[in-house]
Amino acid sequence: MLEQAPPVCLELHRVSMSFGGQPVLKDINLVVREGEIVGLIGPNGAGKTMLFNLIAGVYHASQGSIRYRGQETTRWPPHRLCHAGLARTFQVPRPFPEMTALENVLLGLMFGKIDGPAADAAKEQAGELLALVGLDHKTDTPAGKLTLSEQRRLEVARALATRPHLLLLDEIAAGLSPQAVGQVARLVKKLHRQGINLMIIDHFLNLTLKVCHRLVALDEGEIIMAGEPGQVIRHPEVVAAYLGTRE
Amino acid sequence: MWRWTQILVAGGALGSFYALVALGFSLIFGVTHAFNLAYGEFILLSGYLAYFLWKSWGLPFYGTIPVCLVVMPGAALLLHLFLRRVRSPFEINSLVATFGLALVLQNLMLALFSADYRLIQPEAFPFLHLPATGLTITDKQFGLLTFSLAATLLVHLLLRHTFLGKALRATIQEREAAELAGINVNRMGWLAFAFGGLLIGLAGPMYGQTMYIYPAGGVEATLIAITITIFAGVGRTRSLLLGGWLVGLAEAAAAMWLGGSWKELVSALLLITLLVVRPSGLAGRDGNHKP
Amino acid sequence: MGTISRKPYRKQNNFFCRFLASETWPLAAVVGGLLLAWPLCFPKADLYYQVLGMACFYGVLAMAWNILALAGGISLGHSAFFGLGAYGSGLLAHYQGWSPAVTIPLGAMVGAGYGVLWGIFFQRLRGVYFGLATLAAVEIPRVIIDNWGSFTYGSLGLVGIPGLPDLRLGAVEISLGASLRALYYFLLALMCLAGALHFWVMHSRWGWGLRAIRENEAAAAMLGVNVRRSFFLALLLSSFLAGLCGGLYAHLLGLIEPALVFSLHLSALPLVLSIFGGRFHFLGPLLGALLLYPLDQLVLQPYLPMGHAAIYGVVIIATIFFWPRGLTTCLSKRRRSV
Repeated sequence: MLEQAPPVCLELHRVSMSFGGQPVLKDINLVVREGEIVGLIGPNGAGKTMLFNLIAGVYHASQGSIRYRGQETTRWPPHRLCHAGLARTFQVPRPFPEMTALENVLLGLMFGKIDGPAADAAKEQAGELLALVGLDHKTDTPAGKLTLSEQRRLEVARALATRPHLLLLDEIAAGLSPQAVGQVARLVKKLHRQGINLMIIDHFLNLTLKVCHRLVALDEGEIIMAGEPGQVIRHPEVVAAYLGTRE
Repeated sequence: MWRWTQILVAGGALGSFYALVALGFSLIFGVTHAFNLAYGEFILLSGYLAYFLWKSWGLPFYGTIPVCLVVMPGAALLLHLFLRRVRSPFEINSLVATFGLALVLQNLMLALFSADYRLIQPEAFPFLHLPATGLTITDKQFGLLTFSLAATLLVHLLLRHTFLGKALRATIQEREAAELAGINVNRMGWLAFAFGGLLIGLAGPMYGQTMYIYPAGGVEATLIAITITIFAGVGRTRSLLLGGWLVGLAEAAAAMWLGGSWKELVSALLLITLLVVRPSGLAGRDGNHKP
Repeated sequence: MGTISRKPYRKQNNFFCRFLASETWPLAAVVGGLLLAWPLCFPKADLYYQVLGMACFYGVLAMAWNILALAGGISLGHSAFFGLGAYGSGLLAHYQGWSPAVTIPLGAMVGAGYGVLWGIFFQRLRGVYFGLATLAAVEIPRVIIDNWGSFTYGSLGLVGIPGLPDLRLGAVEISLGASLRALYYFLLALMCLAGALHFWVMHSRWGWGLRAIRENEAAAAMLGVNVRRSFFLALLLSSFLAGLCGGLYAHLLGLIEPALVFSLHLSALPLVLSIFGGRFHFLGPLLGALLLYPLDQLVLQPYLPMGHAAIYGVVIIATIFFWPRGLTTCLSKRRRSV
């Protein structure tokens, strides 16, 4: 119990965000430690994806600071955060539609680190990553022609290609069958064993309960509860938020 | 002092005309999302039609307007037939296709009418003259003002107070919801082009008697239409009128102080400024283009 | 990462090897060979030297445009760079009397300078809005040059610009001004150089990043592509090359006027040639230029002295309607974007 807590990977300190005068996130404090899988839950419009956008540098917080691996990254652009080892997937997949699945992953390999390889040199690795997410039979299919769930898996492969230290997964298991969720859960655990820290947005809680060490519940831009998964989902405030009856 | 008034008169007349020009573009763009870069060329075609009716057939100037009002909607409907076949991504493809169409029409006009500058009724008569002040309103300016404002008012009434206008506005604001509400969006597209054609038909002769028509002159009119549409938002007649006046006044002021040939810079600079300051521009309401 | 091999990357092929490995090098070789060899069979064909030489010239302009289009920037205003390059070079030659070998690159830098301004002001504009802004951006230099008569001779145009100088390669003297055949070979060589550059851009790491930006900007940024810098550099190179073409044009023609070099026609031409030829293939803009320009000049121009350029409008419309990816799509067996 008294062992030292692992070092901090990501720290959000009093982060607020507003869009056109409308507050979207209010005073968020959040820590992700090395070796953790953190789930982010909450009803629609709670600000989960916006939180990801702030961490990944798509938008910059109106107030507060974000520190990633000891560096102040609040105003960093996305590509710089990527080079520092942060990767994400998008809620609505954003593949490069005209490129093949392999080329999509190649781009991650080429640009994910500053000294990335040239296209020809990385094909083998890209194939391995596609195999990891079960897309090795679609190597030469244009990404725009893949199904939604294939595009999601492609995004994971592409994000992994940047060799991340912290991976943000946005609704990766939404709408999947129980077996498919099981597969995703196994993949997540595998990545975790390889030393990748993860944050997972999961509105329907079908994946987070299987893999997360800790849950953070958001509602209307505020953290209403954080802690052990079992406690969080039984907490009356969280239940009320999901039912839409929270004051 | 009276110089200011003169700018106000010239700019007001010109600006009302620009609002008329923008109205057609905005209606077509709003309903069908077609970026019509050949819009100015259509106005020129209408202008040439009026010019030759006046010059070769001896029709009085105001007699040319009804002919243009009949011919141009037909041309606009043909354009709709053409644009309906453009594949997705529709906006950028319609932009490139109409850019090509503009090129075709420019060269067609060059082949048919040569590169000469033409003006309908070159001589203008003072309609109102106040000798004490030096203020003059020509008959051309008066006609321009009356016809433009009347057309704008009619479109405004149509959009605000008729069932058809409400359906058009619904389509402009929320295409899919309009469809769900039982509006035939397809038919609205045809109607928008027909009304746009009427407005082009009116704008052509006005253009031909106010400024010189020549084959390469259409880009200017297109830029003005787009500028005002972006300024005002789609299908909002009052803002369009305001935008037209602002552009007209800016051009009149530039022509007065810097010389007539500088006024072409005004619309280009305004358009760039609007695009840079409001990059979401026309699509602002869709929410697709968050910052 | 355990599941992913950590083998050292294979040594990179250089671009020449990669060119030989591409599916289309035989076509490039055949076209190049034909262009190189036909003058041997028809030594006296001045009209053809001129038309094919200009086709090569417009091929370079089309490739300049395509470098920006590779990143998704569909420009409707490349004549701005062309015109500034022409005026920059022409005015320097007129006032300073410098050789075209000096003034053309300097003129190109004037074009690139305007490209920098685009990069600063249009950096947030994409797609249709970028297109509109570029269309309007042509008017600014045009109206200024038109009105600044005391310096630029305004709408009267700048006349008497010196022609290209003679080249001396060892003992051989090539008179670009006097011999249309020499000029043809010069323009052909220029096109080959630009073609090599175009190939390099498309297949380099940077070019991959540009394609990613075109396909999805947010995803590209998230994968580590520096969107702003990559796009800016594409704009810079594109505007420099377009300016170079403009400078060359001024000395080829000997006279320029604002309505000629800042025309809608010159903005449309590279776009039409590239999209018709296929902007996703490095040969596309070249083939577009080599097919369309001679068609326009040799077949249509005699029948329609005014307005023959309508063909470019017709072609771009047909391309958008029937084969939006251009001619060169049928070259690749696989549907792919390079």
